[in-house]
Amino acid sequence: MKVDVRLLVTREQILRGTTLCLELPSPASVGDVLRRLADQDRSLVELALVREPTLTLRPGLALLLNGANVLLAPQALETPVSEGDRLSLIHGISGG
Amino acid sequence: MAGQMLFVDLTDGGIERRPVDRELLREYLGGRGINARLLWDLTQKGLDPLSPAAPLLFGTGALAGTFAPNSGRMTVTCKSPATGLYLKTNVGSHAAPELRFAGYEYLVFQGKAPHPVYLWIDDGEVTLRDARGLWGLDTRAADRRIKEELGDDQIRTILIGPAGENLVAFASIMASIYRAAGRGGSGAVMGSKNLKAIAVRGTGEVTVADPEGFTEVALAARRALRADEYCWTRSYEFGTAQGIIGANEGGTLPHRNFQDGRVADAYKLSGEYVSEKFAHPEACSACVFHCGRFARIRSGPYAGTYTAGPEYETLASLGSKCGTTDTAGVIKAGELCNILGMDTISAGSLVSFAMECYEYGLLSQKDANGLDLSWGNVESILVLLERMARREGLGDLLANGSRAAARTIGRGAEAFAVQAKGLEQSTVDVRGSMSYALAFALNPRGPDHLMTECLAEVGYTPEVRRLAEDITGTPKATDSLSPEGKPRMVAWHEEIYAVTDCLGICAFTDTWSYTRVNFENMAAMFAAATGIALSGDEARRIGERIITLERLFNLREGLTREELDVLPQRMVSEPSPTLHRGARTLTKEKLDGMLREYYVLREWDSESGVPSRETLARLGLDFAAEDVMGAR
Repeated sequence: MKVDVRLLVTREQILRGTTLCLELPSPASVGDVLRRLADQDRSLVELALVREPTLTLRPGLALLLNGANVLLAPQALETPVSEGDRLSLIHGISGG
Repeated sequence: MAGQMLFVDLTDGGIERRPVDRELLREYLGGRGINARLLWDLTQKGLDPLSPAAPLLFGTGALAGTFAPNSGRMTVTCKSPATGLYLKTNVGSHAAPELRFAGYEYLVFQGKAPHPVYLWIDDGEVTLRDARGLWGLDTRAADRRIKEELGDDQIRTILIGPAGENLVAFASIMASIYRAAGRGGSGAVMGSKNLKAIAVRGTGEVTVADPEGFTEVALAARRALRADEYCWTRSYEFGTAQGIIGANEGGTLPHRNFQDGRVADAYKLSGEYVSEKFAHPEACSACVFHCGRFARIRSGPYAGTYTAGPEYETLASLGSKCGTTDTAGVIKAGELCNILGMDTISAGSLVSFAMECYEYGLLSQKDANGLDLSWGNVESILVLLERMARREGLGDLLANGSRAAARTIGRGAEAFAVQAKGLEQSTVDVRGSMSYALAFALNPRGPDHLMTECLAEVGYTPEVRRLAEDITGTPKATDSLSPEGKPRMVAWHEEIYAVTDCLGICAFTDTWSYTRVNFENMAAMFAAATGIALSGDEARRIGERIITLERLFNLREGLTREELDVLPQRMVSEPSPTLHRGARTLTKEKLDGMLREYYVLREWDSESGVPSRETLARLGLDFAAEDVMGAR
C-alpha cells in the first residue's frame, strides 16, 4: 500500500515541496506511517515528533489525513490509512 | 482617560466636543461597543447608508495609546452600503493612539460637506480644510500632499482613495495609507460625505486611573504573550500568510472562486515564501506579534511596487481564488487595492466572480471591454481593479458588489456570487469547518472571519484542545465536520472578540495565543485604565450585550432570520472536490440545526431568532424593544 506523505514544517520543506511516497504493509495506521518516517529520518524526529511516552507530534503541528486533522479524531494515531491517502504534516495555526 | 468625543456636522462645518459618558463606557467598554450604541441611537430604520444623515463613527479602543498588548486598534462603524445592514470594521496602524494623544477617542461624522474637505486635528485645534486638490488622488499621493501642506511628516492620516470617492460598494478606509478598515464599504460612506481624510497630530499623553495596577497587569499580559514563543515567532517570521499551506493541505484554500480548495504550487503564496523573497515584518502600535508585512518588488515586471502586506486574505483572494500563484502579481494587485482604497477580499471576489462568469460564457471579452478574463491572467486582474475603483466599463458594474452585479448579469450568475447579505465571503472555505460556517452565517455584516474566528476548533495545541472542550463541554468541539458544540464555540468567540474590539486590542491576540489574554486580564486592564470596576464575567456579559445590539440593528431593518442568518449559496449547495473526497460536508439543514441551538443558547426565540423582551431586559437593552418588535 502506498501513502503520500507531505512534510511541510520547515521553510525549506515548504519551498522545496517535500513529498515522500511510503510503501507500507496493509493494514496500516497513521501511527505506522509516523514510525516509518521516524525510522527513516532522525532529523524529522527532532523537528516534529515526540517519542515519549508515546509517539506524537510536537505542539503546534497538525497531521492532516486527506485534509482532516487526525490528531483530533477519537482514535488519533490508530486511524487506518488506505492506498493513495495523502498525509500532511503542517503547522496548525491559520491566518487572518 | 480624559478622552473626548468629537461630533462633526459636515453640512454646516459645526464641530462639537463632548466628554465620553462614563455610564456609556461602563455599559459598552469603548470602541466597538460604544460605536454600536451610537449607531443605534443616530440611525433610523431604512436610512440610506450613503445619505448625508447616515453617521460614520470612529472609536479608538479603551486601551489605545497605552502599552496594553496589541492595543493599537480602532473600530469604524456605519450602515454598510454593500449590505444595507450593520457594519463594524476594524483597523490597526498607529492612527488610534495618535487620536488618543490628541485627546480624542471618538469621531462622529454626519452630514455632507458642500465640497471635498479633510479634518485636521492638531491636538486641541480642530478644523475642516479644503480637499478639492486632494480629490481623485490615491491614498499614497493624498497622504504625501497633506503632510506637505501641513508641514509635518509625523502626521497620521485616515483616508479614502478613488474607490471611496466613486462610492464603490467595497471601498475601504485606509489608515496610514496601507492599513484597511476593509469590509463592507465604509470608504464609500466617507466618500458620500465628501470627506477625503482625517489628519491627526497628537502630542499629549494617555493617562490611566491606576498606573501601578495597570503596569502590573499589562506587563504580565505582554510577558505571557511573549512566553508563547511558538506563536509569536511564527507570527513575526511569516505573518498571517503562515496559514496558506495549512489551508491548502486541508483543501480549504479557495481556488477559482471556491470551485475547489487546493493549488499545486501554494508555496508561492505562503508566508514562508513571501517573507523570504519580498517582505519584512511591520507592527501596529504596542504589538507583541508583528504579524504585519511590508513588501517590495525589486525586479521583474512589477519592480517598484511597495505596499503593506500581503496578508493571508489578500494572497488567497487576489491569488488562488483568481487562479494565480504569481506572487509578485498578487503583491502588485494588493498595492493597487491599498492605494485605490478597496477591500482586497471583496475586490478579489469580484474579479474571480467575473472570471467564472467568463469561463461559463455569461461575460464575453466584449463585455469585459477587451479584457481576457481567463483564470490567472494577472494583467487583466490589475486592469480590472483599476476599472472597478474608477467605475469604468465592466468595472462600473462590478463596483456595485457581486450580489448586484449578478442580478444585472442574470442567466444564473447568482450561483457564482459567493456572497451573503451582499458581502463577499472571506477566503475560508466554511464547508470544511462547522464553527466557521455558523459564525459566518451569524455575522451581522456578512460572511467573514473577523467578527468571530473560531480557531479553537482547529485545536492546534493540547492547551487549545482543552479550552475548546471547556467552552463546549464536548470532545466533538474539535471535530470540524460535527455540529456538536459549535453554537457554544461560536458564542464564546463572539464575546471575546467583542470585548477585544472594545479595548482596541487586536483580535488575533485572543485566538493566536488562546488563554494568555482572556476575559479576566482584559477586564483588569480596563479597570486599572478607567477606574471602572469590571470582572471577567461582567466583561463577557457586555460582549453578549454588544453582539445582541448588533443583531437588533439588523432586525430593526425588518429582516427575518432566513434573510439574516445565511451563507453563500455555493457553500450549502455544492460540495468541494478537495474536501473529504468530495463529500457533502455542509447543508442548509445542518446549518439550520446549529442556528436553532445557538438561538436557544442566546435566549432568543428558537424559530424567529429574535431576542425576547426578557433577554433584552437582562442585557440592559430594553430601549430597543419597541423598535425591534415594531419592525416585525
